[in-house]
Amino acid sequence: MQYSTREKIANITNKIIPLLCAFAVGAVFCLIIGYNPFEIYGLIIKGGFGSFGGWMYTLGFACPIIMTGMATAFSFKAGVWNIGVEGQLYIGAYATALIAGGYYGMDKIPPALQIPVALLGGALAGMLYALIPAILKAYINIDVVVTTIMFNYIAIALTRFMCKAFHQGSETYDSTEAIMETAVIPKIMTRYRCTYAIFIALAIVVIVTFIIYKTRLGYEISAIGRQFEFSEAVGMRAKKKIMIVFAISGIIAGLAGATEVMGVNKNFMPNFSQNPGLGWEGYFVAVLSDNNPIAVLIVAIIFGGFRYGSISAQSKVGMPLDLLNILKSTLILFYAIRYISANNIKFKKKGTNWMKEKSNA
Amino acid sequence: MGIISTKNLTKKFGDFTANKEINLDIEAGEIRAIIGENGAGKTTLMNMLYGVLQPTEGQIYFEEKPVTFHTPKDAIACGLGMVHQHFRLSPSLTVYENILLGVEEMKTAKVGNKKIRLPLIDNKAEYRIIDDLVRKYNFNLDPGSKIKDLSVGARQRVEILKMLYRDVKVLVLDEPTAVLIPQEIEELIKEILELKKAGKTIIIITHKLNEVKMCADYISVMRRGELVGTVPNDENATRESLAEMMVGRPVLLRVQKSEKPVDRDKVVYEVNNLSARDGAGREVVKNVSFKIHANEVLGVAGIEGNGQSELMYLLTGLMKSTGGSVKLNGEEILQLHPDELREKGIGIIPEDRYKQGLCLSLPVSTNLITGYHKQKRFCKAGMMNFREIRKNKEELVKKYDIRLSGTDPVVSALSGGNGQKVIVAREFSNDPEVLLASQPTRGIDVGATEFIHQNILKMRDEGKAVFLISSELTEIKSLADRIIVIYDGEIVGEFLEEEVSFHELGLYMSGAKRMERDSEETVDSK
Amino acid sequence: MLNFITNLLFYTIRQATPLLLCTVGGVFVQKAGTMNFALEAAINTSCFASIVFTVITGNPVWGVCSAILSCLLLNALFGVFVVNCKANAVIIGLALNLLMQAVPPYILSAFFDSRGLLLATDYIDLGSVPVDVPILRSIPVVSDIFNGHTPLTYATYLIIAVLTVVFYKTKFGIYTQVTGENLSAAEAVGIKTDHIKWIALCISAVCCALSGLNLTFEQVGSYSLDMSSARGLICLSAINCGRKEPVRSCVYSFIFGFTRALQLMISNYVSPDITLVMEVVPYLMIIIVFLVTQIPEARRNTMRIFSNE
Repeated sequence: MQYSTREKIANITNKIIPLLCAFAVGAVFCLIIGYNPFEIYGLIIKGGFGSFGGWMYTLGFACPIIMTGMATAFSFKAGVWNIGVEGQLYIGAYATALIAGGYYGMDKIPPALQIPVALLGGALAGMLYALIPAILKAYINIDVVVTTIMFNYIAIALTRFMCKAFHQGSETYDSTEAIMETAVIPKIMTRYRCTYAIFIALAIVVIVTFIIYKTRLGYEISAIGRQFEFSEAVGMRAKKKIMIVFAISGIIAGLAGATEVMGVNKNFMPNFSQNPGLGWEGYFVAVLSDNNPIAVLIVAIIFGGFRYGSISAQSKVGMPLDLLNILKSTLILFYAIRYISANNIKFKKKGTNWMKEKSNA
Repeated sequence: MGIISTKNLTKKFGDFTANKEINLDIEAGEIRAIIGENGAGKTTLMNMLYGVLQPTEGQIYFEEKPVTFHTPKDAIACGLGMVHQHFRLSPSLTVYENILLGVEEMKTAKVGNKKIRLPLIDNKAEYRIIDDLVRKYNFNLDPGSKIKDLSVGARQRVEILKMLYRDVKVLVLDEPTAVLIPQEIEELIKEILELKKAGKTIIIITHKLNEVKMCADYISVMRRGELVGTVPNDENATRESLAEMMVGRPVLLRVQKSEKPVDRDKVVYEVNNLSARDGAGREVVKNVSFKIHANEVLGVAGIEGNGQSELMYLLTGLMKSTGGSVKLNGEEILQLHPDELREKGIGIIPEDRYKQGLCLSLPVSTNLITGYHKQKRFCKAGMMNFREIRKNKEELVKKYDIRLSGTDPVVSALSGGNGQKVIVAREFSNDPEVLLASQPTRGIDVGATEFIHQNILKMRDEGKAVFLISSELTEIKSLADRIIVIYDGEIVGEFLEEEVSFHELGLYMSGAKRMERDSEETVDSK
Repeated sequence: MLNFITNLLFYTIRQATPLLLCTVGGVFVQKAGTMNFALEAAINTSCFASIVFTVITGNPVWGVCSAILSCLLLNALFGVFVVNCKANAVIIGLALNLLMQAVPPYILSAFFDSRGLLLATDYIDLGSVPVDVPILRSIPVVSDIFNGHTPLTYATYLIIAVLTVVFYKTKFGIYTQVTGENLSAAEAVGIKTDHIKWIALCISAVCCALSGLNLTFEQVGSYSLDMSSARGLICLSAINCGRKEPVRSCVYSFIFGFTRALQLMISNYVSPDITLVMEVVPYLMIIIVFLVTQIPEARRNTMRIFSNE
C-alpha cells in the first residue's frame, strides 16, 4: 500500500508526540528525586548504544523481548489479544529447565540433541499453555484478555510452588537445579550477555514476517484481525485460526523462556522475569510497533538498550530502575491516541486541545 | 418566510462537499418531502437542521429567526423533532422510560407545606402520562412493555410519541417506510395526515416515490449535495419526472425481463423443512421448503425481521439448523461452511455488506478474492500469489465497471454502489451454479442498482438459479419469476410473479392471509 | 468444625469488602460502555497514596484524602485518554496498571530506602478499627460472623444499596444504561454521554479509593508491592459475569471473596509449600466462574460464527 505525504507526516507526528510526552513525564519523575533528566537520559542512551560492549549487552537483553514482542504482535495481528505471553514464557522456561536440567533421564540423550530437544520442549509447553485460553475463546467465547492475565498469575504461582516444593537448586533462593553444561546455549563473546539465541530470535522475526505477508494463513489472519464477522462469513473458520494463532504465539513465548534459561540464567528461578516481566515488555513492544514485525525488532532492540542503559545508570548515579518502566508505560499511554489524522492536518477539535498546548510548550 | 428555512446552507467534510448552498423554505402546516438518491446529501441536511452537525456556511431560520442548534436537544427545545431511520431506543428499558428519556418525572415529597423534589424517578406517574398520550393520539401501544418485545411498527410509534410528547411543531421523518409493509405504510400516512390536521409541519426524507406521491404537498429534490428543485405535488410531478430529477438522466424504473422460460424440469436448489432456533430458543425459521429451477429467480418477500436474515444465515452455513435439508443438484449441502459452499458453486451476496461482505480496511484487490482465495490461481502451497491477485483485480474492475480512486484503494474509500459491485464481481466472476443474494441493492444509487439487476437477470438467462431476499417489493416484483412470502419464520404464500399484486403480497406479509401449502404441491407443478 | 465455618464466613466478609466496593463502583463505568482495566491501578494507587501520605504527614486523615484525590486523578487520566481522546480503553487500562506498578517502587526506593514495603503502623492503630456492634454482640454464632468488622465493611453494604437505587431509579442511572445500550438514543435526546462516563468514572474512583483504604487502613496498615494482587481484574470479571448489573455483580464478587477466604483459612492448616499452590485458587475460581456462566450461553448460541466483535 502506498502512503501519501500527508499520511507520512501524520504517521511521524503521531509517533514523535508520544515520545516527547513520555520523556517529559519521565523528566518530572527525575526532577522529583533530584536528578538531572538530561544527564539520566544521556547515561541511558550512552550505556545502551555508546559502545561495542553496550551493544552486546543490549542485544542480550533485547533477545527475549524480540521474541515476546513477536508473540504478542502476532496475536494482536489476528485481533485476539494474547496478554498471556508472560505465563507462557514461565511455563516454557520451566519445562526447558526440567529437560535441560537432566531430570527424567534427559541426560541420556546425545549432547548434540540436548539443545534442540530442550528448545522443543519449551516451545511445546508454551504452546499447550497458550491453547487453554484459545480453546475457551473459540468454543465458549470467554474474553481472552481477562483469561490470559489470570493464566499469567497461575503460571507464576505454579512454577514458584514447584521450585519451592520439589527443587532446591540453590540454597539461598528457590530455583531448579542448574542445567547440564552440554545444554547451555553459548555466549557469542564470553564477557557479554548476548548468546547465540539472538539468531533464534532473528529467525523468528524472519519466519513471522514471511507468514504474515506471504502466506495464506497470514492473509487470513489479517482479515480476521481487521473484521471478525467478515472473515467468518467468507469461510475463514476463525475458531480454528484463533487456536493456530495462539499456538504459534505460545511457541514463540515458550522459546523466549527456553532461551533465557539455557543461555542466560542456566536454571529456572521463579522471579527470572520480573519488573514488569518479559511478557509485558513484549506487550509494550507490540503496541508501540503497531504489530509490524520489523518494527517489533527495532523497538525491542531499543528497549533492550534502555534496559542495559538504565542498569548502568543505576550503578553510576543510583537511579532507580523503575524509572524505565514509568517511561515505557507513559509512552504507551500517549501512543494510544491519534493526535492528527491524514485527512485534516490540523489538530482535531475538542478534547485534544490540551495536547496541543502541551506539545507546543 | 415559512416556519423553517435555510439560506446558503453548506457542509463540507474535508475536501468533500456534502451539501452545497441549500436554500429551503417550508411553510407551517405543510407536508414536505425531500427526495434524492442515497448519498445525495439528504441526511447531512437533516443532521444540520437537527443540530447533529454544524453547517460550514449558511444560516438556518426557525419561525423567521436565525437559530443555531448545537445539539439535538436545542432543536427539540425550539420545536423541531426527528424520527430516525435507525430507532434511537434502548431495548431493555420500557416504552415510557424511552419516551421520557431526558425529561423524567421525579418523585416529590411533602415536608410541612413545602414540596421537595427527590432525585428518584416516579415510575407510576411516568406510566400514567404516557398512557394518556397514547390515548390522545389513539395509538396502539402498551406503555409498560419493553422495547425489545415490540414490533418495528410499534417502535416507530414510540419514536413519534417521543417527539409529540416534547410538543414539537416540525416533525422530520427519516426514511419512515423503509421497514414497514404496505398496510403499515397506509396507516402511517393516515397518522401523518392526522398530525397535519393538528397543525404540525412534517418533513419526510425518502427515496421512495410512491409514498411521496400519496401525501406530500411539495416535493424537494436533491442530487449530489444540491437542491435541484421544488415542485408542487400535482399531476405534472410524475414518478418518471421525479426520478429523472433525482438521477439527472432518464431511468428505467423497471428492468426488462427476458422471455427465456424457466426450466421446470431441472431443480437446481432444493430446501426441505429447514428449521432453526435463535439464542433465546424461539423458532425463527419454521419448516421452510422451496425449490429453485434452472433459469429461475425466486424472490422472498417479507417484512424485515421475519426470519429472512436467519434463513440466509442457515443457507450460507453461518447458523446451526435444527432440522431439514438443503440440496444442490441432489447433493446434500446442509450446514457446510461458507468456504465449502463456495467450492460447490454457490455464490453468496450477504445482507450486511459492510460487516459480512467486505473487509473495509483491506484493499479492493484482496477483497475481490476473499472466499475464493484458496483457489490454485491465487494460492499455491499456502503461499499467496499477489501478482495474480492484482491481475484479477484489473480484469474485474474493467469488466464490472468498478470506479476506483487510485490503483488499489481500501474498500472503505468506495461508495456504497461501488462496494456492492466489488461483491457482485467477486461472486459472479466465479461462475456459481446458484446465487444466494440478500438485499443486493439496499442503499445504493440508481445506476449501480440497474447494473446489478441486469447482471442478476443475465445470470438467470445463463441457466443459473437465483435466490433473492429483498425488503423492496418493487425489486422482487421486477426480478423474480416466482415469489414466496415469509412471515414469522414461515412460508405463508407462494405465487408466480405475474399472478400477484402488491396489495395481495402485503396481506400475506402482514400475516393477515396465508396459503395452506403442501410441500409436494407447489405452484410450479401447475 | 463450627469454629472453622464461622471463621471462614467472617473472613469471607472481610475479604469481600474491597472487592464489593470496587465492583459496585466499576459497574457504572462498564455499563456506560467503557472497558475499564484500570480498576487494578486505582486500588493500587489508593493503597500507595494512603500509606505514603499518612507517613509523610503523620496523620491518617491526610492519607484518606490523598487516596480519594489520587484515585480521582487516575480515573481522570483514564477519562481524558479514553472518553475525550477516544483511545483504545484496553491499551490505556493496561498501561495505567503497569504505570502504577512502577511508580510506587520508584518513589519508595527514592525516599523511603525500601523498594517494596512501607509501614504505617505507627500512625494507624489496627486494633481499634473493629466495631463492636451492641445488638449483634449478644447473639452467639451470629456475633462471631457479623460482629467486629471494620466501619468500612458495614458501610460497604450501605453503599451497595445506595448505588443500586442510583442505578435503577435515578436519571443518572437510566442515562448510564442508555449510554451503554444505545449511544445514539442518549445523544438524540441531548444526554451528554461523555459527561455520564465522567460521572461514572468519578463514582468508580471514590469506590476504588475506599476499597484501597479498607486494605491499608483496616486490614494491614502498610503498603507492599502488588498488594492489590489482581483485585481490580477480579472485580472486572465479576462485573462481566454479572452482566453489568450491580447486585448480580456483587454476588460474584462475594463468591471471589469467599474463595480468597477459603484459601487463607486452608493455608493455616497445611504446610507452607502447599500454601504457595493455594495461591492459584482465586485465579482458577475466576476461570471456573467464567465457564459456569458462559457455557450455557455458548450452548444457547445458535450462530456458528462470532458476531459483534
